[in-house]
Order: sequence, then C-alpha cells, then structure tokens
Amino acid sequence: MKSFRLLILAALFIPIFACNAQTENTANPSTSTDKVEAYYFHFNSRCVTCLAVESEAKTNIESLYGGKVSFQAINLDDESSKAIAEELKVSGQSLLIVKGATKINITNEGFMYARTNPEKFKSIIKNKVDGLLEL
Amino acid sequence: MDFFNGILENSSMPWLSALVLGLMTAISPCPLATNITAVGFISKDIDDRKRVFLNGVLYTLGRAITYTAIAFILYLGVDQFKFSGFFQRYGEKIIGPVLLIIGLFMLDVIKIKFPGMERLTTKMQSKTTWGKFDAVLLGMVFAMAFCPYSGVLYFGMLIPLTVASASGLYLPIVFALATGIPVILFAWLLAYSIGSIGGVYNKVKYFEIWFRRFISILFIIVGIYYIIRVYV
Repeated sequence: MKSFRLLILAALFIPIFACNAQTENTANPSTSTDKVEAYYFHFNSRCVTCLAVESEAKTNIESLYGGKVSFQAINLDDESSKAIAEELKVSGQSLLIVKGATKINITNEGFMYARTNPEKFKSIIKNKVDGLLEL
Repeated sequence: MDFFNGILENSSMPWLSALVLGLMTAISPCPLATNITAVGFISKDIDDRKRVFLNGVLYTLGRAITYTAIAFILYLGVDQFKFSGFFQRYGEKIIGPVLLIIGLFMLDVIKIKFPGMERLTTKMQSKTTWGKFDAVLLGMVFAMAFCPYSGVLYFGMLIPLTVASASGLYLPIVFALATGIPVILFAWLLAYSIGSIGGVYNKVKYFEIWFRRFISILFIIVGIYYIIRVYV
C-alpha cells in the first residue's frame, strides 16, 4: 500500500514537472526517516512572490502541524547552505517537503498560488504533507 | 496574474503554456527593468519605424537563442543541479554591472576600446544606425538575467515541458517571443508617436542625439538598480 501511494504520487507529478518532482531512491543517512521536513531555498535577492511563498508556507505548516513538521528557510548564497543544497539537489529557489528519501517539490504550486490563491496553496501543502505523514 | 494562472492550470497545449509563461516573465517587476532598457535601446533609431520594428524582432531572436540553447543543453542531459543553479545564482548579479558599463561606454565616459564593446558604443555619438547584431546580442545577454521569479517560471515550469521530448524544443522560442512581444510593441508605439511629432527632419535628428543620451543614462540607472538589489 505504501509503495502504491508513492507510485501514484510520483505518477501525478512526473508528466507535469518531470525534472522537479522526482522521488529520490537513494537512502539519505543524514536526515531522519520518520520526520517530515519542509525547506524553502532562496537567494539574497528576493521578489514579492518569493517572500509570499516563504511566509505562506511557514504559516500554513506551523498552524496545520505545529511542531510535527519542521520548516526551514535556507539562503543559497550562504556558504553554509552548500551541504544541504547538494544533498537535496537544489539548484535554485525551491519549496520542498522531505521525508527520509522521499522528496516532493511544490515550488511551482507555491509560485502560482501563494499570492493569488493562498487557500489553494494551503490545501496543496496539506495534501502533500498528509500524504508523507501517512507513509 | 489570476488570468494567466487560470490558463496555465487548464492548458493542455504546451505552446499555450509557454506563451503564458513568457508573458508572465515579461510583466513581472524584475525583468521589467531590463525590458524598459531594451525598449529604449530598440527605439534608438527613432526616425525609422521599420528599423525599430526590425530591432525588436532581432532582440527577440537574441532571447530565443539563449533560451533555446539553455534548454538544449539541459535536454542533452547536463547536470541540472549545477547548470541551472549557475544561471539562477549569477544571472541577476552579472546584469547590473554589465548595464552600468554599457551605459558608461555609450556616454563616452569610459573610452577604452574593447573589440567587442566597440560595436555597442562607438556608433553612439555618430548618427549612423547601429549594427543589427547589437540587438541580437542584447537579447542574448538580457535573457540570461534570471530574476528569482522568472527563474522559477523558466527552470521550474518551461524546462520540464521542454525537455520532456525532442519535439518540445520549440517551446523556448514561443517563450522568447512572448517575452519579446511587449518590448517590440512599446518600442514601436514610442517610435510611432515621437516620430510623428517631430515633423521637421532636422528636429528629429536633434532629438535623436538627446534620446540616445537618455538611453545611456537609462542603462546606468537600471544597472545601479540591479546592483543595489543584489549586493546591498
């Protein structure tokens, strides 16, 4: 059942965002496998939408899950971000939800809805995080 | 933007998605600054409307070359992590200084002659028309200036559509067209309105010299804007 869900989830994304929403198969020793974590990666210069994506994601995750799901904003222009960016294969601005080796990329959804339709963005976050929590 | 989002959500036609993504890129605030500079640059031959239109098309061609080249390299399977990371990280950081330097050259503040730079600058003071290649070059450079928002639109949404199959490689051209259309339109409108005001030929010529100086200053201002955005 678990792998089925994973497959469905992957199948939903692969045709639309082929490169973005790949499920990583390699095991990841440094992140714990049972915790769901959200990451927002950005650069020094930030646009209005970028800021909205971060703040909406942060607020939604905190209000929906409290401490159960962590949220971290990481500046890719900081040297210290290099390790985690390489580990998660992040090349630019991204909003990722990670659980162990499973990685869901909702950057595009964030940029489309964070400003214009925050409710929809919230439901997407909830949908994805719930899916991961059940894994 | 709501309107564009609606089209994107419901579009099953890749070319329409590419078109909408291009328009969204063109009107988002950060690329808008380069677009204003481009409008100025394209309409520099203000007394010749056909030439302004041609410049606009060439500028768009330049953008198409860059967008297609990046997509093609990614299609060939280069490490996306490093390659697209490079553009998103440095694109916006390079454009500020580049605009500033071009502006200073055009104003003749800096007088060193670089072989490449000469094309863009020496003809500024003389009234001969600029080389066609300049507009293409400007389009190529400006396309590389990915802002945070346009970076996501291009690398996050357009590239996945494009690299999915070889037949998708025309999509960056549609995208480039859409980013160029507003620029062509405004440049042409500008040329049309100003060109019809200055009835006397000599007045237009006089105006043209000042207009070109104004464009140089525009390059410098927009360049400083980007430098402040990224570095301060």
